[in-house]
Amino acid sequence: MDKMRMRHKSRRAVLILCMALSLLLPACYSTFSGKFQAQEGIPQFIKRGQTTRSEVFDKLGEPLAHRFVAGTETAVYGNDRISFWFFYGSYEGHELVIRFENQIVSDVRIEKTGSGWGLFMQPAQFALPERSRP
Amino acid sequence: MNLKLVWGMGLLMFVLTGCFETTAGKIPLVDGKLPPFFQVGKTTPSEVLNRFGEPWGYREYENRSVMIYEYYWHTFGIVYGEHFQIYLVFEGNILKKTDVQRLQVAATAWGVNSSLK
Repeated sequence: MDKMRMRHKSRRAVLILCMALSLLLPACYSTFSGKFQAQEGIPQFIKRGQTTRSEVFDKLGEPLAHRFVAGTETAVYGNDRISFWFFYGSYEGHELVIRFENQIVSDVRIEKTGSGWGLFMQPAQFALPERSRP
Repeated sequence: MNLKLVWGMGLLMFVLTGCFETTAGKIPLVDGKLPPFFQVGKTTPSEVLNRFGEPWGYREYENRSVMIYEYYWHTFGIVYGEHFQIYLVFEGNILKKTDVQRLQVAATAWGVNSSLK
């Protein structure tokens, strides 16, 4: 009788474990947001001294920010990448910063804005400061 | 299989769920202070842009401009995190003053946030 009870308990434990794993397995994904892909580098069509502002806006769309900073016209595009693989999640944020002189690209660079990781859940991206800029 | 072991694993997973770390911001603060790169009376906006990149916010009025950077970190289990805004005020293209404002000190546990300040 004791052996039967132990077997029953073991089967129940295995069933609970299988159910837990079946909930975790679908939690594998990778998602990104933004109009450029940071892991691909600077978009190839952008060339310093050649590409115009309108070409940039046509291909990448409206930027996150478009303003004059220290006298230089600047456009900023954002990119966030979140990955979750079984028990581990990671986050990386980047910005594509393009500076113009006389409406021609004078400088372009990718800047890292943040990173994070988390166990058994998405990294703390829910706690990130808002992307919107003043 | 031992049921206690399974429950123990479940509890461990629950605890580990609260483990995460996030850092955001282009100017890393140490103990809420700016790095020594910034020198009042010397540093220029272009030096800041070249070193730390595009600010989160920017405004300009006549001879005065302000760059605003954010710095944020949030870490581990029963979590402690801080959120700062960094104001760099320039006059005539030279750094006039710096201001680091702590916006929030937060404790977070398993997605439940509470702001302590």
